[in-house]
Amino acid sequence: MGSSHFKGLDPLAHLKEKRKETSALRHEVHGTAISHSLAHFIDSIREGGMLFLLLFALASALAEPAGRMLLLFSLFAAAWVLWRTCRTAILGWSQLERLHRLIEQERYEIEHHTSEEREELEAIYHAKGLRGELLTRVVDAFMADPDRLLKIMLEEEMGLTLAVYEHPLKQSIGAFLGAALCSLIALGAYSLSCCFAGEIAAFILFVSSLMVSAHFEKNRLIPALIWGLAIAVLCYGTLRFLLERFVI
Amino acid sequence: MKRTALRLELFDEFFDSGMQESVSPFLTPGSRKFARSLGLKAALLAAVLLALSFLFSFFPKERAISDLFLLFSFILVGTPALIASLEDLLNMEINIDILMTLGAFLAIPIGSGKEGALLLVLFALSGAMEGHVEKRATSALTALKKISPTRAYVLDEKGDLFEQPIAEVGVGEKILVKAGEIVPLDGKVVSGSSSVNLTHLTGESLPMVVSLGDEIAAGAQNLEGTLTIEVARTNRDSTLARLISEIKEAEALKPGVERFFDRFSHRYAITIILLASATALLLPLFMATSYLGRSGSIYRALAFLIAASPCALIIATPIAYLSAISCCAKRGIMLKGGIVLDALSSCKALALDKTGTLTEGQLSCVGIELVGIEDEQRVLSIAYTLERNVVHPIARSITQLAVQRAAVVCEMVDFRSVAGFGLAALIAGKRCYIGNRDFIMPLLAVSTLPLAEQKRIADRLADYEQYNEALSLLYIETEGVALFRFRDQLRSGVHKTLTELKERFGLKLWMLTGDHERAAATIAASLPLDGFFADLRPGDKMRRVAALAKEQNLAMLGDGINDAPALARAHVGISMGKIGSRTAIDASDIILLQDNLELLPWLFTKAKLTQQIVMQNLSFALAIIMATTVLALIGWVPLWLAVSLHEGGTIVVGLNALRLLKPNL
Repeated sequence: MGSSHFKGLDPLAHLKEKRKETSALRHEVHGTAISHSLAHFIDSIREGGMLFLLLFALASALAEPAGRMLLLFSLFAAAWVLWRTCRTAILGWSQLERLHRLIEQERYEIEHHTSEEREELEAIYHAKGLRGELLTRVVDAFMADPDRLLKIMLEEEMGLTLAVYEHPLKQSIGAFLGAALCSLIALGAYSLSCCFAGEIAAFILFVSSLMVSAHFEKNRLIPALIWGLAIAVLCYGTLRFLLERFVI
Repeated sequence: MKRTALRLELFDEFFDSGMQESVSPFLTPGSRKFARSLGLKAALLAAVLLALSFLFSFFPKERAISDLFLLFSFILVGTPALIASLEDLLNMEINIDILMTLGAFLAIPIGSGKEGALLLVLFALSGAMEGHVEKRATSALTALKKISPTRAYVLDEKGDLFEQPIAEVGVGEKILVKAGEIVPLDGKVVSGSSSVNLTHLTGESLPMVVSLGDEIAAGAQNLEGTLTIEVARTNRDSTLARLISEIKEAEALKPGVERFFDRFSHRYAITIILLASATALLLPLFMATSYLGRSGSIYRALAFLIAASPCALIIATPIAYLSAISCCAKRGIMLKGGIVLDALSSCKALALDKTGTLTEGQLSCVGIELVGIEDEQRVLSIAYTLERNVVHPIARSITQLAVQRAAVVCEMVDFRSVAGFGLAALIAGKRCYIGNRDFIMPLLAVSTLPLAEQKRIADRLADYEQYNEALSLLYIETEGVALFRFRDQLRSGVHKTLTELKERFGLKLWMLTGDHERAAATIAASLPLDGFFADLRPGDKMRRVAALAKEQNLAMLGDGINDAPALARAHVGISMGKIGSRTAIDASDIILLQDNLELLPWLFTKAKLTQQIVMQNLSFALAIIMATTVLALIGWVPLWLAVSLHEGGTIVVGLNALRLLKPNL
């Protein structure tokens, strides 16, 4: 057992290695199971909320007029929105490139290492409880169709799911909309120039994004809310106290 | 997250397209559309941003905004160009891409950023248009793999039937092939009889009857009965496997067609880069000028590099091809790329398949002869009543004739089908039989039909078989016999079309067919051909095309799977879109969507005209570039004027190319 295809391992151990290799692709960047564009939308709001919360805290330490600060923050927001959009697109394309490379490798293996692929398939379904004649017939049926075999190996061997990823551009549109919306709300509130409106808006944006994530992930809302509050207060408080000590 | 069921065919589409995102099996169906024509969308967006940059440049206060739009434009189209150029440099390839990118980016330090961005935008638009035009050829193997069986029903010693991948079926094993199925492996019939359709393997238009002891090839379609076949060759050596390998060989050996511009672009790029470098380094040594400053040698060299960037040259060809392709599409001709027209215009010979290409590809009833029966309409009704119950080319032909002549269906009982032979039933109290001579003649021998009549029928059969006509006999007990004659007719207008191709374009015309010599000779005699080759298997057709193509550039016109290797091997493959098999269509470069051969002269004319217009454009663009670069080099023409002149040239070549949109040009 073990050939150059399996790199000295038995088929089952080889499968485990493959799964580990592709786990990064299966692991959602945003840690959620919702559509990528929606996840990036929420993520942008979350990041933007915290960013503006800290920026507004910093602004209070400077003696600049509010109007000028608003202009500076708007220019910063424009660049930040662009960054979020492009970053999301680049990450999406990077992931797609890796997925395509994997599928090409697997197709090559199916065409040139058919017997080893058969061994892997037998190991997979043996692990699922199939035995004897039934196992042989199932494996025969899958081996007969190269396209079906490719699909099964991608799903079973590598744990990848087909037809679920969104195009990087679509993901980046989600990121763009989230970042833009967050910027508009936060800066809009800041422009009111009263009663920490900007900070409150940014705070609400941050916490609500956490709760929305929790809702989609079907996690408990109250822990998400409280932890969100805690993190926001911690970061904001840290900055304010340090500003008081070293700047103001 | 919602999961959508994946079409397995998507894998083939994905790999055939070169792993394009628009058909990625990982992306949701809805988001694949984001990837369509991405290059074109980016180029158009960059063009809009550049236009905005140009607009804002008229307002001195908005210079920063103008520069911002320019930056976006540069990043959008400049980044992919820079990546492509660096990759080419790593592969030691100097080409137009590098020249354009160098010119565009070096324009920035000399304050000509907009000119540089314009170069990149035009370059990106040209590339996007070319990509749009050059549809990636789907390998002919994709369609063939789809129809090739991957499983076989194997009979074990106990007589049990089980399904097995054909790769695992060995020689000597017995497989079962039911009516309608494709025979998966070569073998010998050990039980059952049927008729099989070999059209796509050999081009033979008539079904072949097989029974005990007959050899049968993988890929044949079993029309009627169930056959038990003893496997003679494994999947690796089967007829289908040979066909697949012939197609692969043909695709690999297909003559590549390089555009005139591509051939000289490498030399052009190196020459310009060397001249610009020489100007920058050596000009101050020969002229009273410095290295730096707006009149310095470095500035002039950069201006020369930008002026020499071939916008008009690169746009000259894609617009012409797009226009020609669009015009052809309106007439029902699909081209898989503009360069196909270049190849077609250089063809001096045309090879044509017979069945389905020169002929209709379907049997038509050309006559009914009656012996001992008076009423032809009644005979047709009886034949229709019997044949409408089966799927067979002869049955289809009789059914079509019956419908045309409004024949009625009779009351029928006790219907029987003897696979490979014929049909029988009781109609209006009389036993009626229809089928081939092996089915009917023994019945006549024991019938009350006079011997003289029987001999007359036998003689007529022998006569018609000489002309390769398909024959079917209808015997009505105690009455007589009707002889149905079928032929695969020539398409209307074929003679006129071939005559025009010969006389106007001086093409040599050859017919290639898998049919036997007699059938081929009959057809060839009625057409203005320079010769014909018969009894050709798919591999033989490909080799014949290769031999003919050695003497001159050759186009091949075909429709069947058996034509696919020859279509792939010819300089230009042309297939019939309606009747043609998917494999032939995928192997070809041009598709006649409505099977209208009469468009061939028009197509050849269009090809020559396209080549003429491309050459006009290239000559004009080169002349403009020569004039402006020389004048820019010696300082007689400022950079902005040099760039304007060569952009003006771009517009002229574009308009010239658009003339190809006219169908009558």
